Amino acid sequence: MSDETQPIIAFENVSKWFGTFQVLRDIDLRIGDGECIVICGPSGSGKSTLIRCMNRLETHDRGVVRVEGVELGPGERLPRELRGKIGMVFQSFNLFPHMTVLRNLSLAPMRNLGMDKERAEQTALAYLERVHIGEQAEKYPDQLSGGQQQRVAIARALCMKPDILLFDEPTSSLDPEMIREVLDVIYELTDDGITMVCVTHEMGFARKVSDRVIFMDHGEIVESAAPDEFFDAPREERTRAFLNQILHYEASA
Amino acid sequence: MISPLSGPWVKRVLSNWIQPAAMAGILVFAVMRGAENINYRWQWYRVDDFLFTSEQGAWSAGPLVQGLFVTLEISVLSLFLTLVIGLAAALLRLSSSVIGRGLARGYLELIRNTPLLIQLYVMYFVLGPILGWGQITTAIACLAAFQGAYTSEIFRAGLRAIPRGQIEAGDSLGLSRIDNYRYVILPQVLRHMLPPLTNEAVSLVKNSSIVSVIAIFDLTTQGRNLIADTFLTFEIWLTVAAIYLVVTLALSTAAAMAERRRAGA
Amino acid sequence: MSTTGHIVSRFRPTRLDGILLAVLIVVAAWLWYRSAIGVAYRWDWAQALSTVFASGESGDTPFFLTGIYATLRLSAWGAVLATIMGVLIGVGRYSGVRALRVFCGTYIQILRNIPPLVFIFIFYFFISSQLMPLLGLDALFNRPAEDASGWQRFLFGPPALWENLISGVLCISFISAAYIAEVVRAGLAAIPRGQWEAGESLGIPLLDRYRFVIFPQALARIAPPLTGQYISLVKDSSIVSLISVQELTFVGSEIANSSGLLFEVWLLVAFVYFLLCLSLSILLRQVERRMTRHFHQFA
Repeated sequence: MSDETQPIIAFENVSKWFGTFQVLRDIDLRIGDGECIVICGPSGSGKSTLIRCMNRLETHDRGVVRVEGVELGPGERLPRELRGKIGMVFQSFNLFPHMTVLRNLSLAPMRNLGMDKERAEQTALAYLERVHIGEQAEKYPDQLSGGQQQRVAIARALCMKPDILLFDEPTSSLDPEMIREVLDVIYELTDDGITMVCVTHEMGFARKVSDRVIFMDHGEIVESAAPDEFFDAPREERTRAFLNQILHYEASA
Repeated sequence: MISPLSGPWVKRVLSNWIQPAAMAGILVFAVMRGAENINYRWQWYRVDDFLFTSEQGAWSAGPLVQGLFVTLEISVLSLFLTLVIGLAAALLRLSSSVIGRGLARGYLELIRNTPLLIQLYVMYFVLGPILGWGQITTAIACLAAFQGAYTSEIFRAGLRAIPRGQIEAGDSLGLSRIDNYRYVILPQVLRHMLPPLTNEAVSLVKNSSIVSVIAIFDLTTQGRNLIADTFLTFEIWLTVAAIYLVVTLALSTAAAMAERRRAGA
Repeated sequence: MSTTGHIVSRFRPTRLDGILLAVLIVVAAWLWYRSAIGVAYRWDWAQALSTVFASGESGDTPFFLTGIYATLRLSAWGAVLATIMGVLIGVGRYSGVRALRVFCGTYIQILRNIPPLVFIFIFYFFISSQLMPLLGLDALFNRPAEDASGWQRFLFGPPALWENLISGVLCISFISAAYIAEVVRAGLAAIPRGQWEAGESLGIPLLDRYRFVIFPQALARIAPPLTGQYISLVKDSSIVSLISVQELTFVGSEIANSSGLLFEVWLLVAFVYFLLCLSLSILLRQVERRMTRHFHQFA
C-alpha cells in the first residue's frame, strides 16, 4: 500500500443523490498509484456509481474527488488532459457494433492522441495479442463470443495507455464458461503496475489479484482490508453476512 | 437536485406547455421589437373583439372563435369518416381478395404520393361538381380520404398485433364472423390504438386549415379575412397560431396521458 | 411469429372479389353518368395537352414545365437546408446547454403543432418585410438578369424569380426541419447509452464521437423515416403556391383558370406529383439500401 505517498485517486466526503435517493454517503477513499482494488457489495449499494465518479461518467454532489492530482468539485467533468487516461471496461462491453475489432481499437488513439493509422493499428494488434485474440482483428463484434468481446474491450481501453483502468462488473453478463478467460486476462495486467479498480462478485479472483478489498452497502464503505484479512477475518457484521450469502455454495461444496 | 416539483405529471406539463410557452413568448417579443423597427404599430387591444364580443352584457363568439368551431366541426366529422375509411382499407389490405388488396394498395399509393392541396383541388374542381358536393362535403371527404390512408396503417398494425388464437377462440365458440370482430377483435384493437389515433386527430386539426383555400369559414379563413380588413397581420396570425397550438397540444397531452395510463395498467 | 398471422384470411376470395368488382363497376358507371350527362362536361384531353405544353410566343420553355422545374428546385434546395437545420436542431436537443435544449424542443413542438399553412402566412410576411432587407438579399436579387451564368440559371432558375424561390425554400425548409429534427432526435435516442459512455471514457473528442460512433449507427435508424420526410417535403412544397411562389401548383392553377380546362389540368398536375413522388421514393429506397449496406448489420 502506498497511503503515505500522493494517492492517484482520492475521495473526501463525497456524496451523491439520484433524485431523493442517496447513492453515495460521505465516501472517503484513497487509492495509491499501482494499487489493485476490488469493490464488492450487494446490488444497489453504489459500487458502480463510485467508480463512474472516478472517470466522471457521473458527477458527485458534495465533497471533493482528486484524480491524478486534479481536484474535481461537484458537477465537474473530466478535464481535457485526463480524457482517455482513465480507461473503463463495461459490463455490457459497449463495443462499437458498426466497426471491425481493429477499428474499435485504433479509433481513440488516432482521434485523441493523433497517432497515424499505421501506428495505431500496430498498437492495436499488439494489445489484441496480449488478450490472445490477435486473429480476430478483422471481425465485427457480433461475430465474437461474449468472452472475446470483453477481451476486445479490455484491449481497446489499453490502447489509450491509461494510468487507471476501471472495471464495472466485467464478467456479469458473460456465460459461466467464459468468465475464466476474461479474469485471466485481467490478472495478467497486474504485472504492468497499472492502477486497477474492479467492481466484481468473483471472490476467488478478488483474493488472488487485489491489494485491497472494499465492501460497500447502502452507499457507504463498510469495510476496507487486505484480501486475506477481508475474507478470513472480516471485522463487520454486514461484511460477514454478505460473504456468507455469496460464498454459501463454495463453502459447502 | 432534490425538488418537490418532480412528479411525472408536473414534469409532463412543464415540458409540454410551460417551457415552450416561455420560449414562444421570447420569440414573439423579439419579433415585436423587430417589427417596431419597421414602424409596425402593435394593436393587441383590438384582438379581443375578434375572439369574443359583448353587447349589453351578453357574450357572443367573435369571428375567430366562430372559425374555431367550424374547424372543430370539420375535424370531428372527418375524423369519424377517417376511421371508417382507414378500417375498410386496412381490412381490404389484409384480406385474401386480390381485387380488395389491389384497391387498397392503389388508394394508399395515390394518397401518399400526391399533395393534400392537389387532392383538395381535384376534389373541389373535378369530383365535387361531378357528384354535386358542396364545399363542406368536399372538405370533409378530402380530409378523411387523406388521413384515412395513414390511419389504415395504424389499423393494420393494430389488427396484426392481435394473436391468432383470439380469432380461433371466437370461431370455436361459434360466434359469427361479424360478432367475432365486433365483440372480440375490434375492442382489443381499439384499446391498442387510442394513443396513435389521437395523433391522427391532431393531424386532422392541423390539415383542416388547408380547406380555407376553398372558401370555408374556418379559423384560417377568418384570420385571413380579418387581416384583409384590419391589416393587423402579426397580431391575428399569432393569435390564430396560438389557438391551433392550444388545441393540438391539448390533444397530444391527452394522448400521452392515455399512453401512460395504458403502460401503467 | 405465429401471433402475426393474417387474421382476415377467412374471407372466401370469390365472394369478396365479386362484391368489390360489382361496386367498382357501379361507381365507375355512376361517375361516368354524372360527368357526361349530369354536369355535361366535355373532356378535351388533346386541347389540354397542347395548352399545357405550348411554348410561349418567343419559343421559351412551356409555362407548365417551368412549374415542374421550380418544384424540383424548391424541393432540392429545401431538402438541403431542411437537412442541415434538422440535424442541428435534433442534435441541439442533446446539448449540454439547457436554453439550447429548450429552444430546439420548442421549435420542434411548435412547428409540428401548427398548420403549415398558418406558419407559411406568418413566415412569408416576416421574410418579405424583415428578413430580406435585414440580410441585404433584396439588393442581391435585384441585380440585372444578364449577370446570371448558365449554371446559376440551372441551379436557381430565372433570376427574376430568385427572391420568389428563396421565400419558398425558406418556408418549406423551416417546416420540414422540425420533422427531420424529430427523426434525428429519435434516432439518437435509440443509441444505447453505453455507446456514448464508451466513447467518452476512451477520450474520443465530442465531435469525433458523433462522427465515428454515434452518427453511423443512428443513420441506419434515421434513413427510412428520413426518406419519408423528403417525400413529404416535395408534397408540402405545393402549399407555397398560396404565397405566389411560382411552382407546379401555382402554374397549374393559372393554366386551369385561363384555359377553363379544369378537370384535365388538375388531373394532370396530380399525375405529375404522383410520378415525382413515386420515382423519388423508389430512388431513395435504392440510395438507402446502398448507404446502409456499408454498415455492418447489427442487432
